[in-house]
Amino acid sequence: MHAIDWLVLSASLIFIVLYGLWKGRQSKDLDEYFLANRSLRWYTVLLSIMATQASAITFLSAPGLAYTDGMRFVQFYFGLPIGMVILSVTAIPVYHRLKVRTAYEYLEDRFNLKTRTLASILFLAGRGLAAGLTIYAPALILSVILDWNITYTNIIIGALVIIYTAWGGASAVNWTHTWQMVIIMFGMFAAFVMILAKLPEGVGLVEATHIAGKLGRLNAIDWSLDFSTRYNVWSGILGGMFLQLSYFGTDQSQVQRYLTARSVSESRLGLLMNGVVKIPMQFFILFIGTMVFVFYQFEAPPVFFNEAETRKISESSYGPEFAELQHAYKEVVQERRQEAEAFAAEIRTGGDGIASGERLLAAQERSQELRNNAINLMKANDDSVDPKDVNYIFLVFVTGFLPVGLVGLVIAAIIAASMSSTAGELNALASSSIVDIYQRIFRSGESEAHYVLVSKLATVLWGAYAIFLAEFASRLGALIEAVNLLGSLTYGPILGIFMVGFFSKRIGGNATFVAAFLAEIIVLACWQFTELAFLWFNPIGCLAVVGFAWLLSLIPGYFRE
Amino acid sequence: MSEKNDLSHSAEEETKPPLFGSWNGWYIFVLGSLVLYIILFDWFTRSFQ
Repeated sequence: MHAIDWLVLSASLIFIVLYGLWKGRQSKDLDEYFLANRSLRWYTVLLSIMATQASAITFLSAPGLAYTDGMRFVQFYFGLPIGMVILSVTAIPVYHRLKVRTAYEYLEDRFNLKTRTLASILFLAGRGLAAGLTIYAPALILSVILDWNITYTNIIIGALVIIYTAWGGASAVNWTHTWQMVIIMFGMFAAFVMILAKLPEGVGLVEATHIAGKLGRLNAIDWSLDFSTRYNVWSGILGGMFLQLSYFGTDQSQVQRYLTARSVSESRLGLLMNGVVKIPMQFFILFIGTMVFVFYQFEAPPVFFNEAETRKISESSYGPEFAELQHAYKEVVQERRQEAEAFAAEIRTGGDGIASGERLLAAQERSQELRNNAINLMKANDDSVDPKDVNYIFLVFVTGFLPVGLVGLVIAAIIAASMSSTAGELNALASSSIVDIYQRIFRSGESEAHYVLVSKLATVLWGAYAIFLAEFASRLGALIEAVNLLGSLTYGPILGIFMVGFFSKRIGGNATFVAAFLAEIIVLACWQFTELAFLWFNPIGCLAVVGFAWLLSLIPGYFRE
Repeated sequence: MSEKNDLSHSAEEETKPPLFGSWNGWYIFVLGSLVLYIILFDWFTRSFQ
């Protein structure tokens, strides 16, 4: 990286940390430390919500997904606006009225302590692990592409977050989120403009969009009702709605963000505006990926974007065969470039581009076939190879083709995204472990100063745990996948517990507690024995809790308590 | 318990929201924007095939 890129990157990160320290300089009690004294306006809440949800992988993975698979991922967010409306009607007024500090505090108020503690522990287990991965995933990609030391990258990203999050609590987290979002969106927009500027002469936005469309990368909508397809309109609206309800309504890392608002109205506006702006933002990020794809129609891409893996196979006994494939790929890509130029010229002059478009499509299919062959060869060489290079595509383009200064800005945006998610997670992990466990179960009646001090300590410990996990993530392998999966399998039942609380005045804690266990068994069975896409587990888990809780509540005695 | 999950609007929530006369206006706006996005994306998908 050029010295100017380092300057831009360092200045951006130092600014974020100093700004966080300054904004979080007053934290005398828990309300101030965990909820910024419930003083923030809706736009700060909005940016904080968005920054917490959008991790570095969002900005690395989404353009890569669009490059390889088109824009269908945008449908994943179709349930978001509906979820935001439902939460504005249900959760927000209840949380504000009860003046809770965590989402799980509500569960004790409505049901009992064991339900609150169970939900809190599930959150701490899942989110604690996720915090490690939030640091690890971008650090791995940055280390491969920029040849950085992954241990130092993990430690630096984690330490920067710990400094201002532990010191300033929610004020520091929410206010830094604002600037992190500014850096992220500015970096992404600048990258988009540069991609268009880098296209060959005579290929503008219109021609580029036609090329992307012809090659199947603008497939934003899929109306097919296929339950095994991961992203279509129906899974996005229904499955996505339940997932977003669970994430924004019951996950403390999000609930804490909008509890910092000064009133019900400000919380509502923050969430509702999130429902309005998130989909176009995601569409834009995916569109950047399609433009990178078009850019590589005119510039030879590597056959596989993860350079560490290509180096590995080149040095193996499969090296000569791989080199032959690379050579053939280059030739097909050259041919594809000519077809793309012919297609763009025809579109520019008002032609229908049917014949040239078909030739371009055929050339793209040939290049894809060679790419698949290269991936198969890698798998033959090393069974443990990750056959997906989606997360590497955007950053390989950025470091290879963007001008000095902008490279530093985009990398700053990616690290800022990692920091923003991690900060939200650490802040929430500390609040739930102190408010729901330490203060509620072990040490009630201590002074506010004591709780603030142990909250700061908890933030540091959770941060150290996240760095530790990030450092050893590559060695944990299957364990991480298993716990991550467990997290996604518990989202539906947890949402079900809250839904029973919000919508039923009659069903008690015991019925709901047992119903949650039964629902979890059903979700696990669906995962093991069906081909259902994961988004459908959320409505199934949630509705199963509601159904079982209602049935159990009909039984007199224990289940009526 | 009836107070705890009472979803009726309190005096604070009845504060007139910005731009629209009531929160229902906001809810319709948010859901309307979703419908608009789907229509636009569908047009986009069909137009550039």
